[in-house]
Amino acid sequence: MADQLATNTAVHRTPSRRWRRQMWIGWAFVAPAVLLNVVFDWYPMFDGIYRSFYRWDGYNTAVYVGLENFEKIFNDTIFWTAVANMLFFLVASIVLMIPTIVTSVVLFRIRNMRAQYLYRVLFCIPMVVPWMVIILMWQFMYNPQYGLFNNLIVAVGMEHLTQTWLGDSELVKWCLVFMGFPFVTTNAALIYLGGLKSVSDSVWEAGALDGVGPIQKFWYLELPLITGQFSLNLIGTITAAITGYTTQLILTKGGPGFASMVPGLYMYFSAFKSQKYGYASALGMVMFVMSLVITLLSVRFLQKEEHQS
Amino acid sequence: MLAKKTNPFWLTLLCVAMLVLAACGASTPAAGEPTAAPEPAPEEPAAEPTAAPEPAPAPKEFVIKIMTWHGPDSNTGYYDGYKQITDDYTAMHPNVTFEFVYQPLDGYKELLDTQFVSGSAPHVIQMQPWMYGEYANKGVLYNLNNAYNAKSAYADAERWIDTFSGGESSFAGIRSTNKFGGIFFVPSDSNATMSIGQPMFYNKDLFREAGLDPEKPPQTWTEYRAAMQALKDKGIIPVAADNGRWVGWSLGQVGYQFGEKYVDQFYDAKYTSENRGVEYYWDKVYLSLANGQLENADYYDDMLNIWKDYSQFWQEGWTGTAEADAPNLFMTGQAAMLQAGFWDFQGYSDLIGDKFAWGIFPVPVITSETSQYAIGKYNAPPNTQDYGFTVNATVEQDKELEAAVVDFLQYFSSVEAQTKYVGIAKSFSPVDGVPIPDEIKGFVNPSDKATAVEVVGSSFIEWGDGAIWPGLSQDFLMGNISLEDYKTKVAELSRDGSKGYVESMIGADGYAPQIAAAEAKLAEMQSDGSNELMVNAQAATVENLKLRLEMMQTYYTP
Repeated sequence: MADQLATNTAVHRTPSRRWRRQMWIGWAFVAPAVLLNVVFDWYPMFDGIYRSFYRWDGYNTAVYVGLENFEKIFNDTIFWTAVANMLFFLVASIVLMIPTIVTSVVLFRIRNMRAQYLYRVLFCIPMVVPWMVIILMWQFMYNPQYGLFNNLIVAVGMEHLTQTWLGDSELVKWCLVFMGFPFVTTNAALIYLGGLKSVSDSVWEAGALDGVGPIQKFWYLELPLITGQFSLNLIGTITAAITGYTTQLILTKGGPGFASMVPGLYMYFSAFKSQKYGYASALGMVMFVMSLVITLLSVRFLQKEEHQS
Repeated sequence: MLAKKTNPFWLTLLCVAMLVLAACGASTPAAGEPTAAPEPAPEEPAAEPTAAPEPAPAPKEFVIKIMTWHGPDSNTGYYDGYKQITDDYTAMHPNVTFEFVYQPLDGYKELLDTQFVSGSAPHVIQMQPWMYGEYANKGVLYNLNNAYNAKSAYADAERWIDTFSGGESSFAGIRSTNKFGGIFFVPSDSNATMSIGQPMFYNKDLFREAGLDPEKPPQTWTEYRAAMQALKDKGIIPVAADNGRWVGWSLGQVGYQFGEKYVDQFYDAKYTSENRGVEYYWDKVYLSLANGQLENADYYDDMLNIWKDYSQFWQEGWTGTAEADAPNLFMTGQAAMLQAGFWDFQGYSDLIGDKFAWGIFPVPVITSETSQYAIGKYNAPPNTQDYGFTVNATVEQDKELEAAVVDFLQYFSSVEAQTKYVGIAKSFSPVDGVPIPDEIKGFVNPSDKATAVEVVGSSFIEWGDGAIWPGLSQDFLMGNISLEDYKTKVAELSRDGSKGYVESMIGADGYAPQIAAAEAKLAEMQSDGSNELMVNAQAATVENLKLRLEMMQTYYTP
């Protein structure tokens, strides 16, 4: 009996020890990632929140100013111009999600698996081109004197239609939006494709039996079934539109005047050209809140639509 | 018999340990590099400059990092020239080698700011004139005062500072740009005793095509405007412009031909007499901006209208043209003129080759024919050093490294090294006795016309928030905002910035500690029985600082 008791005890002790060991192994594996995440993501975020209540030039002692930075933002006409421009880019980005969805559906409907694979590869190839190279190519194409667009227009005999493109306050935003042509985002397309492929074949078969046409299939089957993927891509699109500024920094520096200024670029200039790190941090906070509010509203709307359908 | 299974726990721990060691190893400093991140900028002004270091002792090895915006692939010969100097120095001191950190001007300051904050800034850093004061006041630069007062091992003069054109007095203005009264850089690629301009490079073939005499480029603004009109009428782009540096350059072309000694009217004669150096001028401009006295000078309307009129002769869509594209317009023969500096001369020569005939002419003076307020002269030689290499304050943490860096910079500014350098780089030298390369003699303004001093010009625009005034300027030039709106907005920006500076100089961290330090040094010199000339000079320094503080306290209206 004592032997039995010892065996039982050994059986109960072993799983606990093994579990603890496995737990430590798990922590050891995730520790580097957690550490990097804390150091490079969470710490800067909290530091930015802290700095937003100070006036700081990046070197000397920071001076606590409370909500002064936020009051200045509220009264800053350049910031509100930047927000208006940002809203333009946001709406454009959301509308231009449609070509990616349509492309994904078309790709999904290709029956020949080899052909589908080939097209998937072709869509992925542009991803290897650095975005900076693409920006500089578009800068060249938009050049009013020797760029591709004006030269093409002149070549077809319509010289009166040449434009200054990035040098035109009215056109510059449209030029920046057009840079995404043909507006098919590879990452998003692959996400949609993955979502469509995960749907059970019985759904498509049922639709085919009911005589659903291609358009009806798109509106009533495919689109509703990728609502989750759409939400995911929407969050990414909203965040990128609100916080992004690389294109404006390289191409226009927010100009002509402030016609293409966006909050992200204004934040960058405030920090590195004006040495107002506290003000820049406050701008970052405001952008974060804007991004959060718009994202929550959008996701809630989508969830409501999904629920109703 | 089964092989013993590797314990996954210990394997995991080993992997994590290796990762941690790899991360730590990347931050282990190599010889000669700063040993630790610099301390945060001190709240109190820096103490007295460190004692003059001895020449680099052998054989401890150093790798001195030099940061510059002239890279190996740039159009200029500067990098090759710097490399020649460093190679020659290493030949003499094999234990000292160099590593260049290259960053184009676009993004230079941003990278530098990040490096200083992270403690990875190079030892020797090239800076533009507007940067010294800012970084010196932040406490991240090494004060070279004592090094300058010591003898250079590479020159005969008694003190290193005496080897520069203009001597010690040419550094007086620099001392006023920082709260320590120190000299924080070693000049290069300039000359305080010459009026060096940024002329217009022009395409003689296009001039000829427009009916202009290519051998008689315009001398006055009226002639210049007529030439630009002739080119425009012929369908030729008169001037290549961009949405970056050109905004400031074109403003400077026009702006700094107005307002000579304009601020003197606001101050008592004792602050404006001839023996008050350029440091008083900068103080007066800051004060006047802070007090709003420069918000609407009588010459502004003429100056800004000339500038706006000028912009019609730039290529269409210039606000969307990047800095690199403007030279392309000139070098492909589409634009007739391009403003550039002597640093571009060699590079453009190589790129243009024999595509077209070209030459240079100084920016035409604006005479009374164009505006009653125009000075009609070029700026006089500045008699102040303004461009060169600074030293990272962290070198003080290693005395031997400090000695090596200073010794190198003394060699850098020797006649021997500079003569070889200007021949390679086609540049000017701040050192006495170094010849000017023939190719760039045309960049020196005619001395009979180069007499304008303390020109206020467009300071009320350019001394404002650097993130905002270029955009406002573009809006003004494009006609999106009126002249009055533009003047109001830029004046507000510069007033805010200047107030901060004036208040800091009047406050506890400004002139007061400089005066205290100077008085302490004077007392020390008197008790040591120092040379009477040096004691008198130090006494004059103390009086000077007190007078400047008095001027700020008397005239500043918060």
